[in-house]
Order: sequence, then C-alpha cells, then structure tokens
Amino acid sequence: MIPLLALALALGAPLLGAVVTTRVSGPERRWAALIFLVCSLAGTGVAAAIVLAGPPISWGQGVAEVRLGALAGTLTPPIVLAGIVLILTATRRETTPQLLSGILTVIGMSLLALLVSHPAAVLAAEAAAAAATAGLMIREERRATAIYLTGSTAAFLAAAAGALAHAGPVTGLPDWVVGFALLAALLRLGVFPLSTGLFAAARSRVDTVALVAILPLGGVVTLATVVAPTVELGRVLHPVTAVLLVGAVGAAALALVQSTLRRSIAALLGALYALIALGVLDPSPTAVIGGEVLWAGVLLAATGLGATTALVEARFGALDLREYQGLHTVVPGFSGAFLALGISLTGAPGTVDFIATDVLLTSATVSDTLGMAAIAATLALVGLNVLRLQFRVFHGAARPPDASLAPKPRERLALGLVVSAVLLGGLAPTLLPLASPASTPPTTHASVLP
Amino acid sequence: MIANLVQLATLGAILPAPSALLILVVGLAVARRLPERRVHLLVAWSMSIAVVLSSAVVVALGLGLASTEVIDLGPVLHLRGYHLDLAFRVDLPGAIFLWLTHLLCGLVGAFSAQYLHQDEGYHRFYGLLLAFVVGLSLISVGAGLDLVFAGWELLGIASALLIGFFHRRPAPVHNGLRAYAVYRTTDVGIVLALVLLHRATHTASLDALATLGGTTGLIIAAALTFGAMGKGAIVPFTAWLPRAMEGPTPSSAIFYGALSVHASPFLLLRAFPLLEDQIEVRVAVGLLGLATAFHANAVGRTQADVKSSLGYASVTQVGVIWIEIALGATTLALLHIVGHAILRTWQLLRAPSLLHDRHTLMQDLGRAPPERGRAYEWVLPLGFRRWLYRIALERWYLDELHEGALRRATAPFRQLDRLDQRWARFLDGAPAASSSSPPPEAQHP
Repeated sequence: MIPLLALALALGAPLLGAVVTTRVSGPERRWAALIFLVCSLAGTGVAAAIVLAGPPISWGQGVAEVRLGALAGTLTPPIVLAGIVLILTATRRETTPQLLSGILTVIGMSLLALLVSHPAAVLAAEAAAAAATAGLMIREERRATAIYLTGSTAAFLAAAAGALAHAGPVTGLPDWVVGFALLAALLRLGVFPLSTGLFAAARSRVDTVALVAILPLGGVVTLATVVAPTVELGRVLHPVTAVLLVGAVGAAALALVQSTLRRSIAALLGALYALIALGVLDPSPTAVIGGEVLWAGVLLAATGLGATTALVEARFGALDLREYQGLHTVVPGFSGAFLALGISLTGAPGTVDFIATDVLLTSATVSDTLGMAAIAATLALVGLNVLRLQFRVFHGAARPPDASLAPKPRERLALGLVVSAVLLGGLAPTLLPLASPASTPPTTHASVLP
Repeated sequence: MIANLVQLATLGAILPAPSALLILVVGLAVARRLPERRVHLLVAWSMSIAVVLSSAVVVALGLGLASTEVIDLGPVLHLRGYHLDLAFRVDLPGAIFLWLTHLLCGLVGAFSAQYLHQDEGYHRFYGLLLAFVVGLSLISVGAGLDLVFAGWELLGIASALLIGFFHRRPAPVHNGLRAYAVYRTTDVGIVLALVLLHRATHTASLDALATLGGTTGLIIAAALTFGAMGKGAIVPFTAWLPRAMEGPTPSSAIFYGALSVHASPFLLLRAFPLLEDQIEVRVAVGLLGLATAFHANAVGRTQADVKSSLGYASVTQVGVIWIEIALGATTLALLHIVGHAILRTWQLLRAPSLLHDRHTLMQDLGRAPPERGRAYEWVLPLGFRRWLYRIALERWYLDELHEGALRRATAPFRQLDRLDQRWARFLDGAPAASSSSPPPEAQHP
C-alpha cells in the first residue's frame, strides 16, 4: 500500500499542480507550484527508499503496468528537484500560469515515463513531455527549438503507435519503431548534429523557459527502456555509437569556440548528453548503470548551472566571452555556485559525476580504445570549457559591489539544494538505488531494464 | 602491532587536510567571514599533526620496522564488474612524498599568514591550499589508479585557480586557463591508462601494473607517460610553467617549485613496475627528459625575472629526474625529488628578497659574486650560441606552436558553428546577419 501511495503522490502532485496553478493568482502561484513539487519530492523519496531496501515492485498489466525499480528510484527525485529549482529561480515576471503549468506538466510526464513499463506507454509519456515543452517554446516564439521539439513529439508518437500495435516482447519491436524512438530521443536531448534546437533554446536569453528545453528531462528513458533492449549490436549499435562519439567530441569542441555564455552552456551540455546516451545504449549492464547515474548527476548539475546562468543574465544581460566580465566581486555567491556545479559536470572528485564517469569509462564495452579516447577527450574539453566560462564571467577587473544584485533567499535555497544533492551523490553513492547492492541490477542488454 | 600503528599513523596523516577543508568551507558558508588567525591556526595544526605522523611512518618503514601496508577502508561503490575502493598503499616512497607534501605545505601555510595578511583572497588561498594537499595525499598513497586520478584532478583544479589567484588582472587568469588546458590535454593519457588497466585486469590497483606485458602494457605505459608530461612541464608542454608564476609566491613555491611539478616523476615512480619492462617507453622517457632539461636550461638563461628563471630551473631538474627514472635509478630519483623540492621551495620563497640577498652577499664578500654558467661559452661556437640565444628568448616558439595548433583544430568548429547559427536563424524566420555585425547573442541588451 505504501509504495502505491508514494507513487500516487509522486506522480499525482505535479499533474494536479499543473491544473491548480492556472487558477491561482499573484505571487502565491509560485508557492502553490512549489508545494505540489515538494509533495512529489516526498513521494519520490519514499519510493527511492523502498527500492533501496528491496526488489522492484509492479502493478497492473500490459500498457497500464507501472513499475517501481532502481531506475525510477534513482531518477525521480532529481527530476522533481530540478523542477523545484526552476520554479524557485524563476523571476517574478516569468511565473505566469502557463510557465508554471508547463513545468509541472513536463515534470509529471517525465516521471510517468520512468514509472511505466510498456514501451508504448513510455513513448506516449515522452511525447507528452516533449509536446508540453514545445508548447512553451511556441508561446515564447522560439521557433527553431519548437520545430525540433515538435519533430521529437511526432517521432515519439509514431513510435508509440507502432509499439502499441506490436503484440510481443519489447525485444521484438520492428526496426522502424526503434528507429523513430531513437530519432525522437536524440532530437529531444539535442545530441550533435541534431543540436540546433538545443543551442537555439538559449539564443535570445537563458531563462526558465530555455532551461526546460535544455535540461535532459526526456529522451534518456526511451533510449534505456525501448531502444537499448532491441537494437542489434553489430548492425545498428556500432554505427549509432560512432555517431554519438563524434557528437560528444563535436559538441564539446563547439562549446569552446562560442563567444557567448548561453550557447557555450548549451553546447557543453549537448556533449554530456551524448555520453549519457552512449552509456545507456552499452551492452554492459554496469556501463548502463554508469550512464543512468551520469544522467542523474548531469541533470542536477545542469539545472544548477543553468539556473545560475539565468540569474546572472537576468542581472547583467547577455555576457560576451571575448571579455573578462569581473562579476566575482559583485555576485560572489553565484561565482561559487557556478564553479562548484561546473566542475561537478566535469566529474570532479567527490561529486556524483565522478563516480558515474568512472563506472562508464571502465565498464563500457561497445567502444574500442579509440572510442574510449574520444570519451576521455570529451570530458577533457568539457572541463576546460567550464573553467574558461568561470574565468571569463567572474574574473577580471572588478565591478563595484552592489547589494541589490545579491542572490535572494529563494535563489540561495535553490542553488544550495542542488549543490548538496550533487555532493551527497558523490560522497555516498550507495544511496542511489541504481548503485545500491540491495537493488536488482539490469540483467542483460536484451532485456527490459528495471 | 607496529603494522597497525603504521596504518593508524598514515590515516592520521591523511585525514587532517580534508577535515580542515570541510571545516573551512562550512565555516565560510555559515559565518561568511572567518578571522584570519583562526584559519591560519586550523591549517597550521592540521599540517603539524600530519607532518609528525607521516614522519613516524617514514621512520618505521625506513628502519624496516614495518613493511608495505595496504589500508582498505572498504568499497565506495561495488557493482558487478566494477568496484571503487577507498584503499591506501603505504610504502616508503609514498610515505616520503606524503611527509614532503605536509612539511612544505605547512611551511608555506605559515609563510602565507604574513605574506597574504589582509589580502581579499586570504581564505580562498588556504581553501585551495588544503584542496591541493588532499589531492597530493591521494596521489602519494592511493592504492588504485582511480584514487590517484581523483587526486590528480583535484591538483589540476587547485593549480589553475591559484595561478589565477589575482583574478582582477587578465594575465594571471589567462595563464591559469592555459595551464589547465595543458593539464586536461595530458590527463586524457591517465584516463586511457585507467580504462585499459581495468579492462586488462578488472581492477584499478597499482599493484596490477606489474602483471601487465605485451602490447597492453606498452600502451598503458605510454599513456601514463603522456599523462605525466603535463604537470611535469615536459617538452612540448613547458610553456605554462613560467606563466604559472603569476600566482602568489607561496603557491609558486609549492606548486611549481616543489610538489605539483614533482607529482609527474612520482607518478612514473609509482608506475615503474610496469615501466621496468617497457624499454621503448623508458627510452622515450629518457629522451623527453633530456630534451626538457636542455630546453629549460637554455630558456632559463634568457629570463629577466627571478621567478621565471627559477621555474625553468625547476623544469631542468624535473627533466633530469625523468632521465634517472628512465635509467632505472628510482631511489636516486626519489632522493632528487625530495632535495630539489626543499631547495626550490626555499629559493622561491626568498625570491622577493633577491636584491636584498645579493646586496648582503656583496657586502660579505667585499665584491660582486663571481659570474657562473659560462660552460656554454667554452664549448659552443659563437654563431651557434647566438642562434640558441635567439630561440631560447622565444622559448623555442612553443607558444606559437600551441596557438597555431589550436587555431587549426578549432577552425572547422567555428565554421560549423556559423552554419548552425545560420540554420537556426532560418528556422526562426529571422533576417540573415551581415558578416560585419556580431551575432545577436554577442550583443549586450
């Protein structure tokens, strides 16, 4: 009973909140949305604790089957936490009913995608999340991103229809269904060269709306639960791996040549998403765990880094990386948060991404030595770019301090939460259900992942 | 009994730095500002305890009262086919490097209390110093290559941030990033070595290196050598080191004179059970060491400031240490590291007082001190000396080489980026940007 209630709370709260927040007016709207997400966080926390203690639990059958396993237990809390951070750091002008409802819908659908078992249900939930994000982009007139997300939605729906029509195990899904699912996932994540939508999301400004599109709230579940169990190693996986490796290095190199902070962040994240995709598509169950834990770590760090960037840009406007901006003396709190979250993205020791990249690198079997060198080069370039951004934005001739630009208490809370989560995952990785000895690990590549 | 005491003493030597770092970070987060004296005492006490305990470990191991110990604190993470253990390997070389780390960092910490008094970055300096010590401790006694790499990364981040310590000036910041770029480039070698070690032996333990041979052993040895080149400022990665002197003198002393630059040959010492049988790699190590020693000696003679001169002198000695390792003289190399680190720390800390020291010396001698370093003039013809001077003044054009390589490597990505932006503008229905105006993203609102 308790697991079911926890899941109902985790899933129901954001979806109910998406409706309720449209009926609340004024600044209370933000707090109403937060209350629903905090309830959802409580539910996901209880669910994670249940998974830590024992085997996966499932209810229902067929398309309606809901399964609480290690993947859901590990990823649902970070997804909800990302939503909380987005809402806490949104500016007053941004907290419109449409945005808050959109965020809650995306969070709810992302959680649903993690909790359902049937491929058609996973794909439909992903489609709904992508559609909600596309809707936000259309409303904000970010056409390029909206086009890519609409394409992703269409591909998810096509794959969902194919999966629904297929009467057999997931390993027998037709090639065209798997192809559409793969395309949809890569479009949603913005993996290079399908990254124009991701880069363009931040083209005019990095704000909460842009972050909803940039963050990896969708796509990975499809790769892990629909594509990975079905794709044939020799015929398909190796070419896909080659594209992802090129995409990872390419995006990381693109990040280095950017002259604006916003595009550099987007490109940097695109490189990491390619590594996540590489991990979850690997035949080795341990590498899959590495990819999924990397997803959790990157999601948290990217949320924090993106939110810090949005807060800095809200105060200082677009930042040109061709000059040193010297913001350290004006906003030292943001400088510290940017550095901590940035180096955690690179896999600095003590953070969850260090564990994840170590697991991924040492366990991945699909890539040869050259592939491993490409992954190592990607991580090196990402690390270099993070420090370049830190130095360019926060170092240089000091600007006069201005107390009015200091982080607000809710912004401090948001960044403190995400930094703590990143460090907790790194220093106590066995708290993650995926990495816990008590949880059931993924069995084989060709089976449904928990 | 003594074995248990050695293990306890080692743990006691490792723990103070991370504990002090945690206290400092939490204290700053809560109190926003800690008194300088309190920070200094925290660091002084932690380094003092660590020095005493690590000295005891060195004595016990040196006198043969205990042998190499492995302290296994249990798994951090254990999955099928992968495990990350918090394990430390206490042998004599590791214990000596651990002792050296805490001794020199403690001395520099004491020096910095006066040197950086009332500097706005006082707390930042000590935080980075403690992070540096944690990194070096992991390198000294980490039992697995993954722990060693964690320390190596921490070292790199702390180094880059300390080079850019005086962050209001663009030059130190630019040089910090430059050094970090070299570190990250060569770190690819260590990552590759870690991955291949895991695949070959299913463990990251340094003891497993000795079991490797054949092509795998050769590749891992070469990868580790490449990984060690960055921090050791081995040719062609030498140019970052004199630029690193932009940081505070105390950090220049311990990082680029004493410890960080010696982490490179220490890594080779740790990997020597593998290197021993890899003749090709040892020859490469020796040749690189020779080239580095010659390059740094020549360039150092053309430097106009004392810290750059000492920086290149350090690199010269690191080159010689690499030659010693290539020849198999590992004990000599370790002694060389210790002696050189202590001497160079002293020299760099005295560097700001160079003129005063010279005047004191002249007073004592009653004349100018004799000129030294004329060996080149006796041996080399004038024309060659002039050519050597010219290229040494230009630091063998290594900067231009690196910048040219970077420009060529990034050119296709700049083109790709322009194409992507054009495509995005097309999808957005925005007018095409003219070639003379910067893209909208680069303009301030």
